[in-house]
Amino acid sequence: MEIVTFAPYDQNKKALCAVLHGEIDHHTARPMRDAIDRHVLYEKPAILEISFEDVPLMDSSGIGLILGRTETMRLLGGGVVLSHLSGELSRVIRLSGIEKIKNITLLP
Amino acid sequence: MKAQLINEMKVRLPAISENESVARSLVSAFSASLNPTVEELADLRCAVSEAVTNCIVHAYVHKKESDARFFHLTVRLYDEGTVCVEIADRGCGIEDVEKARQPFFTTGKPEERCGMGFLVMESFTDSCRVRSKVGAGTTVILKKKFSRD
Repeated sequence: MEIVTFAPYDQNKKALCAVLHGEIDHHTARPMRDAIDRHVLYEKPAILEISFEDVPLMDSSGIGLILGRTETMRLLGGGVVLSHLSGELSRVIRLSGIEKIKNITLLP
Repeated sequence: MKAQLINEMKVRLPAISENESVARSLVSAFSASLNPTVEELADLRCAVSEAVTNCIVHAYVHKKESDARFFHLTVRLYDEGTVCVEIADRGCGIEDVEKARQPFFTTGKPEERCGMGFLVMESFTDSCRVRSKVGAGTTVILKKKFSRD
């Protein structure tokens, strides 16, 4: 199973959706980051949606991953949408305070 | 009455990133007999992940490739429903533990480290103690009491 899969690119909305698979830690964050960055630099979307529907656990490496992608999207003039966050993952997110960053949107 | 030790596990693992998930799984499987809730176990797994990541990212940063790089994972279960997890390395140690524990302090910027490790460990456990000596290593002791009915 791929560690990140991508929904077909939405040309109209210029939205790229990356679905992460498996636990996010320091070991898995790097290949996830590389896969997302390759697609982002190719499509140059306005919105990068990162879906956590298949992520059972995330440590602070996930926060680094989100912040890094947010910075890339900021440079492209776009934003990041985080979707399908479980209760556990939301707790790590809240602890970091990243939901206050203005080009990050949290979806349930 | 003093809490009685009911089970104990000691494992030595190479400080490589593959062992972050191995350590989480070991702690999780070993603690299962205390009947934690799903959320309690997820919290503990997350805290362990942070401590082990520190051993891998920071402890052996100055060591040569040929030097031994291991961390020791000790898990103790007590009859009152408490789990105690010790993660110890023989790495470089931390010069200023107070500073290292400050939220968002990091020396690992290039690899997208965000300095939240100790914050997660403190928030997701009941106690997080750190013993460290420069040149000798660091030990993190995490304790969590599971709410049993």
